[in-house]
Amino acid sequence: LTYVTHAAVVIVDPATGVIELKDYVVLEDGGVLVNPMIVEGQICGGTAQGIGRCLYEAMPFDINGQPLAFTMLDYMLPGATEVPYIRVLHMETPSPYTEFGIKGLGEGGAVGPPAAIVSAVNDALRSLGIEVCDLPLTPERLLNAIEGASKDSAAGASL
Amino acid sequence: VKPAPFEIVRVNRVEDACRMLTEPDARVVAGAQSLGPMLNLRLAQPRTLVDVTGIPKLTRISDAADAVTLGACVTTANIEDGKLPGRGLEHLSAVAMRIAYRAVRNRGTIGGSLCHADPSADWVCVLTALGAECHIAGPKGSRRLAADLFVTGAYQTALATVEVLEALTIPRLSATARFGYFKLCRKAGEFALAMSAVLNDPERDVCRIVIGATKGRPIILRDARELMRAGDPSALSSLLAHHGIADRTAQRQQVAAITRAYQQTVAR
Repeated sequence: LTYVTHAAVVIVDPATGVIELKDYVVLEDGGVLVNPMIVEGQICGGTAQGIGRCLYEAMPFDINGQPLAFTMLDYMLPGATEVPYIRVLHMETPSPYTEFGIKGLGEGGAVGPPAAIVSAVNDALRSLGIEVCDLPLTPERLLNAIEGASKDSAAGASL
Repeated sequence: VKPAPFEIVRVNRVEDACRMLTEPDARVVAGAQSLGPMLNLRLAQPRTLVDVTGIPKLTRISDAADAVTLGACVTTANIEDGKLPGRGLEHLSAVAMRIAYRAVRNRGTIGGSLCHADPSADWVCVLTALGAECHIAGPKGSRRLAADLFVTGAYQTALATVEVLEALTIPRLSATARFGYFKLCRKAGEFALAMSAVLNDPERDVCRIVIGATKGRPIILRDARELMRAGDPSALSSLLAHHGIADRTAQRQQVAAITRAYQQTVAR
């Protein structure tokens, strides 16, 4: 099996709801790496996709089932300026089950970012006692959560 | 996504451009960084495009003591690279630097952006705040119009169909004037969520705040000093609501943009 772990450092702007990725590290165990350059490309590409899933990409539909994001004007993808430099670290534990000890590597990049980024955001907001979990984590969702928290604390204070 | 068929005519003189614009469904094109995607999405289907980037006058930069006049086809990259002469214009390069991507800035022009009049365009907001003046050429001669009167609504300007924006005169910042600008975007090149440009010059008693990324023309607060000194976000929110920005998230983001742009203009 392939093992992977992602770690993110984020800056959360509570006034605007915008999240910035300050640092990003992926550690992946792909078994014996046949071509490390391709492996790193695969990991970085997958991570960019995962960042898109976490912060930008959504396919909304209206009440009649019409898709609302059917051009690249409506469907927001991360670009070169939204994906930080990704630091990739490797472990090489040869697989006992495959020829040459290789392991699959395709999905490890894409699945990690939502968990890592959302956890980092929630950690940043811990003092407010809120936890966000809906994807994509848009500025609007974040601001609504922050506003909800300040209303709750105001209500708590008046009791 | 491919555009509907159209013809493109390249002209070398403003008079020729004005004459071409009398043809049915003719439109001016410069860098095509906004109109291009609109053509591809068929949101715009002109029959003729009049390319004005070959008119020498429109790429000229002329220098005066208190202002600079930029031809409408000066690109955002020209401005970013600090090609403007003299002092008191450095802030324009800082604005240019954050407009979309370099590839867009290489072709996109300051006049084209203003004429496109996208409510979330940087130049629409910034030129309004700086009190720029538009030089407009038409078949009956030329006229001048302040930038705040030029943009009349979302994607709407005071330009008649046969008129061409020739140049923009942008006043230099005086020694005591400060300019602040804050734009909120989820990603580079995306429509801005909130935007604010502030011109603050205590000596001339000017404190003008312009709010962009609205649903129509920019919102102009001509004497904002009292408002900002009070530092009351709820006053700003209700002001935004009064101008049709009712969405709570948009209000919060605009308040953040205004506050930050203003902060850049006050001495620390």
